[in-house]
Amino acid sequence: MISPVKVWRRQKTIRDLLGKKGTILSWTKIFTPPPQFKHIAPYMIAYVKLENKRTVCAQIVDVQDIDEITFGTKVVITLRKLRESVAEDVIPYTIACKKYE
Amino acid sequence: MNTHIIGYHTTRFGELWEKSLFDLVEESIIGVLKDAKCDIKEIDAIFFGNMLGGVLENNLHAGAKIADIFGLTIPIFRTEAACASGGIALHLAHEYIKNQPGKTVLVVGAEKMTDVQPEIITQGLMSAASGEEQESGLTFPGLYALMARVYMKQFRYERKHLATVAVKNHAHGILNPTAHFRRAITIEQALKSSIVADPLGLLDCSPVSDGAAALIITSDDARSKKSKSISILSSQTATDSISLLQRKSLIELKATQIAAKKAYIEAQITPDRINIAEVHDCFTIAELFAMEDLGFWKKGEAGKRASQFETLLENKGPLIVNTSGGLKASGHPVGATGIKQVGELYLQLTGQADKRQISNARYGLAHNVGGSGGTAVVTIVGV
Repeated sequence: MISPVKVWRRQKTIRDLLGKKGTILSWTKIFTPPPQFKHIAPYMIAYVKLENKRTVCAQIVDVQDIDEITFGTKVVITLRKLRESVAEDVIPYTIACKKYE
Repeated sequence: MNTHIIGYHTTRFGELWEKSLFDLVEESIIGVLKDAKCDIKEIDAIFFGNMLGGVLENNLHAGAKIADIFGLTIPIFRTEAACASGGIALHLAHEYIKNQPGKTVLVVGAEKMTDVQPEIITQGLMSAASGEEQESGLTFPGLYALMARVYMKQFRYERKHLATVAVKNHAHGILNPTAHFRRAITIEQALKSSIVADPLGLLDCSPVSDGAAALIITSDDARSKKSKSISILSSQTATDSISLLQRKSLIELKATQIAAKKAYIEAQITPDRINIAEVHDCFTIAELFAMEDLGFWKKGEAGKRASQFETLLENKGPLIVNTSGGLKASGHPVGATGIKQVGELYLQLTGQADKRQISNARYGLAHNVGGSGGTAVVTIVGV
């Protein structure tokens, strides 16, 4: 069960990050996921240094190939539903990043 | 007054489906008492290192469980620091007896990992990472892959350089009867193995293993003379941020550097005096970092020097690393690893390492890391 109170606590942090721009410090593609991400594996994750100097980790979305990413690739933080819920669970949205020009 | 290691026992590491967590604990405690020719009545306290008992099987209050098995009433403590749980158990046991004459303490580390599916283990191990890292879908191979990519770019290395670490440790594993994997691998096989977290492949990653290892340490000088014994010259630990996000550098582990510096000072020796080391190769890249952070090799050199197999037993160099097979080949039952590492040094320094024996073993160093570098423990032993 995905805890509603935990999702609620994260909302403020997630809200502050949306729309922030940054560059990629490093990235990987995960082939052995934890259970809640099994349905979207394999997926890419980047460490992103934001304009405000803060570093975040976020899945890279809307990118087909790992070769589209390199050191310094410009990305923007966006909101995605990356986890599946069941029955009456809260649907957790989280940050992801996508390339921008 | 010195502290000594007077006995060691390890179970086989691997897929041990007939054994439960506490079956393994019991086996290693009985084994080490026999090895040290100790009666359990001589033990003043027990320290137990374990990471996943609560996470995977709702199995806590280990102190009382061990007391239950052996009919004890002595103090028994559990320690947890992710993959450094065993190292921290030994560190605290050492703190407990140093400067206190006449004390004998048993340290045991154990982990039961193969009862559950891989996804559950992947998730369980991520309890050692920050909330943000867990939430993004990162895994431990992923965390080390992020670091590997930066290191490879900065120092112009390729996957084949990392692969040499796994090849070396497998060559050692063949010689270790309790290792999880006892077969050679080649660089080609490592490069062809499926990607787990780009750029790390299956053979860059230590396995999921069951196992337990135990040591007996004492500050009783007279007692130490009755067994094959070695001295603990120093035991130091340091922490760093749990999250890679907070780190200044993705190509080194500050916790290792700090713990190592303190350990060399306490032991009053320099890195070049170490003949034998067990370092934390949870992933091939981690052994490269370890060799640099422990002061054996310069920053950026490790990929090149590892590729020359400088620390392979057969090459008889001044420093041989991971004769146990490391985490890669001997296996990585998380809580047991830190104990096994020091146990391997004990076997080397007392001439009991059999086909893995180096000549002139005098000073040994064990390096145990928790998570992506949030904890590091460095232990230096000598004869």
